[in-house]
Amino acid sequence: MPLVMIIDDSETLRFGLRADLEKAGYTVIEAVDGADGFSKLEANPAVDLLISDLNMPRVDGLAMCKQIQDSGKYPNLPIFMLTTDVSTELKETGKKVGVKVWIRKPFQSERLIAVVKKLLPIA
Amino acid sequence: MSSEQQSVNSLRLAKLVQSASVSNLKFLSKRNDIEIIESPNLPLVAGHWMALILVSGADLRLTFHAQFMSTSAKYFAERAYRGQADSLTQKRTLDFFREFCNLVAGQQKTVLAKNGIKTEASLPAVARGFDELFYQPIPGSHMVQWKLVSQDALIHCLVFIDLFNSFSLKTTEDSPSDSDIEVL
Repeated sequence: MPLVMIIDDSETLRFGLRADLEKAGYTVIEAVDGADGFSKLEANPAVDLLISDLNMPRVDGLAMCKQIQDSGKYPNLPIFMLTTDVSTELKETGKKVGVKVWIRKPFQSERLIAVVKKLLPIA
Repeated sequence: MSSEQQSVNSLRLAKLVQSASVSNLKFLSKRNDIEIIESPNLPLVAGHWMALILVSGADLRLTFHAQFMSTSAKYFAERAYRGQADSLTQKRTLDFFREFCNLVAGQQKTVLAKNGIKTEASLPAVARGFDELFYQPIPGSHMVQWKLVSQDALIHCLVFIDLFNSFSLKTTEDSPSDSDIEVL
């Protein structure tokens, strides 16, 4: 089953998204901020998709994406950014550091799952 | 900026925060029966717990507070945790209100940006509501209070607004749409 990592400092959001992804057939691991996310990615290099919050304590979502990009180890890893922020500048920065999809909170879970399924079909 | 103009802008901003508070609480709590009750004369401290977030920029500063008791907190948070009573710890309940503040602040940032007003939001925080007793209102600051009510549960909301410059709010519309999932 495809492996998805959710990175968000909100346990409420992680809980709901994890439940929806698992129901759709994905295996999920969680991280609480960008530093934790990068560390768990290094420990689980088979992750197929990252869904990350932007504003988090310690290391934020964009800084983590830069770290992933700079490592050069995950050139094909898709990253979804999950945030209340929709500024064009931030999206441009996100694109430069490998963000493929920008999702604005609050979001409809069914629609997010549909996008995930398109990218990572369940066999 | 005249004090009259300041009051008009503050009132429009407060309405925007009120509207964001009810829509985001409905979304997060998965409850559609939440209503706003205007409550201008509530005491400054109306709950054991307080979640708060700051949105600020060169033109304004806005602090949103949500005060609540533990029983109401559990009521609003339980469906976000799929109604699993045993999984609804105090930590998770308080996290629910941090995320609630985060969503409300994010919507303010978006609408303000549509009006050319650049702001940033803090990370949300939760404290004991009694900390509010030490708050000293800033002269010229506008405070608006309301309650969000569903059955017997309620949240007491406050917003403090300080305006530093003159500006006009051309739009206060912000409705999430299909474009909120965007492939870059």
